[in-house]
Formats: sequence, C-alpha cells, structure tokens
Amino acid sequence: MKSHKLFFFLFLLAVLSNAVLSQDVKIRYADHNNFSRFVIESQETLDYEIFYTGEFSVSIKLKGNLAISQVKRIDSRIFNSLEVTKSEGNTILILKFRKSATWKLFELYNPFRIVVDVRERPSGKILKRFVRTIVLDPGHGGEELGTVGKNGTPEKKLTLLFAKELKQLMERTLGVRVILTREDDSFVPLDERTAIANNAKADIFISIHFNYSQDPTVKGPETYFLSYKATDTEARLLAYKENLGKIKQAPSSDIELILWDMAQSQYLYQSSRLAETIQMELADEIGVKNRGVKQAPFAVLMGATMPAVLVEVDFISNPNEEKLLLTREYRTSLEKAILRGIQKYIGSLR
Amino acid sequence: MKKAIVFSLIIIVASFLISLLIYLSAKGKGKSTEKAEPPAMVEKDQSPSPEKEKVTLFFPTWEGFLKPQEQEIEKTANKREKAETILEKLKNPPSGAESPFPIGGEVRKVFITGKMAVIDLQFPSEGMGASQELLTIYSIVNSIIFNIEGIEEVKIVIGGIERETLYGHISLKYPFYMDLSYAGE
Repeated sequence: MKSHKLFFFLFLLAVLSNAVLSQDVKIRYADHNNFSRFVIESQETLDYEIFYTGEFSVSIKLKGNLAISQVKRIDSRIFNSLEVTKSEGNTILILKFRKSATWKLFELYNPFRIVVDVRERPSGKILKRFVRTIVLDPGHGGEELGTVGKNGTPEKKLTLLFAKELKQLMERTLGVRVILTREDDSFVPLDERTAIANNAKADIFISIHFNYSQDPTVKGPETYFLSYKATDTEARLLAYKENLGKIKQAPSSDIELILWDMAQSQYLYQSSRLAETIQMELADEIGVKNRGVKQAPFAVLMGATMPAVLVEVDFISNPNEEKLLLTREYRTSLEKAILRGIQKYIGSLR
Repeated sequence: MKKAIVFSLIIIVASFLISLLIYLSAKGKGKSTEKAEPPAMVEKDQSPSPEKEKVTLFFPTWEGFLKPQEQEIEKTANKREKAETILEKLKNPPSGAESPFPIGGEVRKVFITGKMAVIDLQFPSEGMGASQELLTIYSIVNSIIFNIEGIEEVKIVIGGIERETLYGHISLKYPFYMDLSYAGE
C-alpha cells in the first residue's frame, strides 16, 4: 500500500514538475493570397535554430522540453504536415510542404512569436548547363550614392570594391569569365545593367548591395529573387494585344518592353535556388541565423534572361559591420561565402 | 507769411485729429466684432464631432517588416479623400510607430482611376537601403488597398512623372498589389 502511495506521489510530482518547467507553446497557421504563414507563439522568448532541410520542408529546433499545443490536422494549401519530436532536451518541429517552396522567417514580440512565411516556389527545374560567364553588378554609382553607413561610407563605393574583389576570386577559383556592369564610379541605368548580362549570354547575374536599418545593431545578409505575378503581366500583355487588334496599329516598342519584363519569369525556379545557397553561406559566415530568402520586384532583375539574384551582403548601418567591411580580410571572408554559395548552386546543375 | 504757417498748422492738426477719430472708431468696431464671436464659438462647440472610422495601417518597423495597427480617421466623402487621410496618418504616425515617409517626404497628389490609386510623391534625394525602400512602398500600398474598397492596385509616381525606382531598387513601372507577406501580425 505504501509503495502504491509512493508511486502515485512520484507520478504526480513528475506530472506537475513537467507542467511547471515546460513552457506552453502554441502553434497556428493560415493561408493567405500568395503565401502561407506558420506561427510558433510563446509567452517567453524561445532559443531556437533553423535547418534547411530541402525544398519540401523546414526544421526548427527549439531549446528545451516544450509542451506544444498540437495542431491535430493540417489543412493548408502549402503545409502538408507538422512533425514534433523531442531529442536531447530539444523540441524539433519539422514543417513539411505539399509543394517545393521558399521560406523566410522573422520574430515578433509581446508575446514572442517565430513567424515562418512560406511561398510556393515558381515552377521550373534546374537546367543542366555549364556556367561559363557570370555578371556581377555593383549597385548604384555616379550620382546615385545608395545608402550611407553610420561612419559615412557610401554604398556605391563598397559595392564596387566588393564586386571587383569577388570578380578576381571567381576567375581564379571557378575559371569563369566575370563581367562587371560598371568598372568605376559611373551611373549605369538599371535596364542597361541587365542588358549587359543578356548580351554577354551570362549564366548567372548577381547584383551586389549593402543594406541599411534604423537599428544600428542589425547585421546579416538578405538575398532576394524577383517577385513576379505571371498572371498580372500576362494579362497586361493580352490586354495590350487585344487593344492593338482593335485600333489596328502596328506593334510599338511597348510590347517588347512587356516581354522584356517577363524574361526573368522563366528562371525564377533557378534564381530561388541560387538565392538560397548564397543566403545560407553568407548567414553562416556572418554568424547570424539564416532567415531564408525574400522576394521583391527589383527593377534590375526584371529583364535578366538567366538565374538572377540581388544580395544585400550586410548592413552598413551597423557601425561595427561598416568598420569590418572596410577591412580586406572581412570582405574576403564574405566574398568566399558567396563563392561557396555559387559553387553549391553550380554543383546542383550537374 | 505768418498766416500761411498758422493755416498749415491748423490743417495738420485737423487731419491728425480726423485720422485719430477714424482709427478709434475702427478699433471700436473691431472690438464689437470680437464681442460678437462668442455665440459662434458656442455654436461650434455644440456641433456634432465628425464621424470616425477605423482603418488598419501598416507602419514599417526597424526589425524589417510592416506592423499593422488599427487607427481612427475622420470619415471622408470619397476614395480620394480617404486615401489622402490615410497617407497623412502614415506621414504623422502615432507615438511608437515609424513613418514610411523620410524627412522631407511629401504626398503631392492622389488620383483615383477605376480600381487604381495613383500616388504622386515627392521624396528627398538621399538614398535608402533596399529593405527600407521595399517597406516604404508596401506601407503605402497595403494601407491604401486594405482600407479602401474597390481599390486593387496602387501606382506610384514621383514628382508628377513615372520613375524607374524610388532609390534604385524596387521597380515602380507597374502598379503594386497588396502583399501581406511583408507584414507581421
């Protein structure tokens, strides 16, 4: 009888201590117009790591033995399932996608939330091709300074310096032809930059930029590929063609412009893969969490007829990073990280 | 000669006295107008306060996303006025929120044409980082489309003309659609 009581007492103690020690973590998700959002919410800030686990899932390792309020059934356009496992004092969430997708992650506070936005990856496939020519685009130039660091470094100066060094490194390591869209402090229009890459029949286009935030502590890379709504541009093209039919006029250069803007649409799948490999390597090198890749309608990427990304290498608004970026050693480490990202991407083409 | 001087002095003194009288009478009239004002003030106090409505505005944050925040604005007669009121609220945000407008940034004009709102901006020439530029644009785009029924796209022009970009990053060539993936919760 006594042993029964003792067992019951220990059992109760174990249950209670587990309830007290483990934080309650809530999970929710929602489908939106062009993305799906997965949210992990906790009253306390969570310590976590993110793992890239391929095109069809993302893993988040939360530190601690956490009580997760489980989602019984996932009914989403993009999310397929959520697996929760516990290992070595950690709680691991594996969020699986129905389709190949890209993701970005950010934090919100009061209460603490980890937000993962997942977008369906543009359709396409990796085309087997040799990479012979790479075009590097040092952002801004001439009258266009770009942003200016807290200690006064103009973005245009740093992008040119960085791109020139990266060119040398690429030529030496990859044995490819590298072309810069500008070699000096001159202003080059955005469509001309893309035209340089198209005329050179480049296999990869990378636009180099440096970022700015009001928060002087923010650091790390942001890698973008083009956000493109095929239906919108196609609809515009259709409407334009119909109008031409009605007014019986000869085609103007407008139609070529719309087609030019659609050029990158065929390469979005590959661009997303290239963005991911560069983002991963740069985040690792700078020592920040990889928060995934982003999409935005960047003018310089629109007309590119090859995989094209825009890399915001780091924040020059962070005085420490700005100081480091002015040293050859630090720049070389980041240039090598971009190179590794490109090598990984090229490896996937074979 | 002496007579002429005396006569002139009389004229000067007389004209001074006339001017003084005119001035005093005008001052007296002014006072009576001021006295007549209080009833109007009372009337103003009694008039009903303008009708208000709630809108969700998307303010940029330092962390790199848009923060949706509910705000009250005066009810307006049409879509254009509502868009102008929303933009004014974004320009002068409540405490704790950041404005998407840089110092010196202005809204020149707002036009509504069918399902599209055309926003004509005047921004200073100093540069902006890509993520700042992205948030500035989508703060405006999302706040307009989210709150004004019938508006589905926003076209941004600068200084009355079409520009390639605001600060060398995001294309302004085509109108923007609402994109909530740039927003937090």
